[in-house]
Amino acid sequence: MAVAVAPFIGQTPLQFGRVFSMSLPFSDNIDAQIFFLARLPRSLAAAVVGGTLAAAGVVFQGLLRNPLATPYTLGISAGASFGAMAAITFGSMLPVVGVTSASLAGALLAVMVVYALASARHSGLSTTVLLLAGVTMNSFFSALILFVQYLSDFTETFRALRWLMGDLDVAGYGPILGALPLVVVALGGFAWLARPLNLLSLGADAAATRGVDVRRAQRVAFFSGSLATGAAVSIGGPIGFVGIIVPHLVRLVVGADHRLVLPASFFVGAAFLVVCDVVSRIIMAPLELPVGIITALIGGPFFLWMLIRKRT
Amino acid sequence: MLRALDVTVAFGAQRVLDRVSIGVPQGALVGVLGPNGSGKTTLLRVLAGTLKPQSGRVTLDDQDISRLDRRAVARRLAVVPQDTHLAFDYTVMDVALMGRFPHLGSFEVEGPADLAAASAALEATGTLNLSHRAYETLSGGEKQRVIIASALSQLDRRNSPDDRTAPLLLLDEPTAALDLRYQVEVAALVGRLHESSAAAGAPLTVVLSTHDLHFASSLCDTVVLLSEGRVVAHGPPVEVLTVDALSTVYGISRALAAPLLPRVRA
Repeated sequence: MAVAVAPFIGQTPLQFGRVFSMSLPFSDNIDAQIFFLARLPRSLAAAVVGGTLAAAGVVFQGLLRNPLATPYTLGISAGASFGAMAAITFGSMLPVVGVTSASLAGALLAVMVVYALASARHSGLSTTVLLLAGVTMNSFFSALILFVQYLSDFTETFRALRWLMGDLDVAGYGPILGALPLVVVALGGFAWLARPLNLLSLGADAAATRGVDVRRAQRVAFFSGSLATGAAVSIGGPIGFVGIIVPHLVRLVVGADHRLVLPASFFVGAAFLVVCDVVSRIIMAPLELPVGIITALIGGPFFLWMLIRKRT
Repeated sequence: MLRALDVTVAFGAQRVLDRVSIGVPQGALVGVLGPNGSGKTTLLRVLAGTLKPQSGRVTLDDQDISRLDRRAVARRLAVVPQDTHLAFDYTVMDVALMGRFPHLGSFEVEGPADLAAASAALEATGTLNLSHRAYETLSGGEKQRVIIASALSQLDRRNSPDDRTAPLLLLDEPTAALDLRYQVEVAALVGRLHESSAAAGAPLTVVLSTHDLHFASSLCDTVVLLSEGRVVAHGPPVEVLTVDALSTVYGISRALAAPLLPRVRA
């Protein structure tokens, strides 16, 4: 875990170097400005989003009892994306609705529909129904997103596509501070979930016979995971692969106990996304690639590697 | 004493259990037999409190089990399901320690007492030497024994003749998916656990469902025969496991049933 945290701390001095090497060789004031107004919020955003998505990934994998689950499996990011796109395209017609709040609203809508569908039977949250509801929401919102894209003009489409790629180019500390209370609440839920998630991996009945309040654990997992994902997506858009790569890597190192996996995933996820963000900024300098592209480029080979490992 | 009183469980229109009443006395080794679909697993789930019946109730020491605190029940009653699929890669000790959940607070970490209980449970099932192995790499018999250990580590084992602390172990077809060798192993283990606990003055009550006539007749002191959700017979194996009963319930001819009948325990 210390190894995971160190890269994060080490990142700041690294950026300092970047700041000086990439900035135009004018007065130092500009460098400081770049650092505090552009770089630092970006890295903080990367850390918060990366850590949150990774931890949320662990929680959803535990809830759905499936190592292939991601924070986006249940349709939350699709809802958030739809909200953001609607705000971008129709925002001029409606009263001032920020893209961030619209994406949160979209996420909330998706969460409520999925939860309502999954708890329609009174036997608690069925993971199968959750999955089906999530997949349905994903398709439904994707269709709506396509529809909105059809209606939007060139600039709006461009902005929307950029948002969908996942970009940490945040406008100051605002979005981070706004999302922070949500993240903190979600992390509190995660802390409580650590041990119940271990037992849930035996199966719902097996957990129940060991004294776990399965319904409550499932609800806490679902809502805190959705809260965390919604908050993360509202900051940086739907950045992919962090929520699935990091939990897997962490489990390889620390084992399967969620009491270790959850905090380790948070720190490793934070470090991971900070590094990806740095890469995205320097790989095609002076262009700044959306960080979602970098995570996707790493994600593909990662899954290939996982498949190959399983075979041997 | 665990009791089911007039329990009916229906999934939709189909009655899986129809007004079933059975009592499990302290220290007994009860076998539940019947063809697939007769309601064995459902009966165990209802007795364990994980499934609420549509009508009737289950009582643990004359208290309605659905009203008791989950953790308190878990410390008295442990269940070994038919098979267990772990979603993630836990070690044997991890699995054994999971049984300590009802003994710990939300944020409490396992202490030496918990480790001792889990180790003792693993030792009792002969799997202590496997504690650092990954559960998924074990053989079928080893896995089942680890799950039994995980259940055992849950139970409050106190050497008191007080009925209120007498622990219960429910096993759903514990030998069903196993090779013959492991069937024998697990059957012997269950019998041994039951006997040694009784000898130590802290009797373990066991309820198990099984297809294995031999297992039931050689180990159980009481057998419950289920057919289509109803109890058709209840008593010592020698009384319940008759050619008539078997041919009726399992739908086989008397000629076929007779040789299947194991030599029952007197």
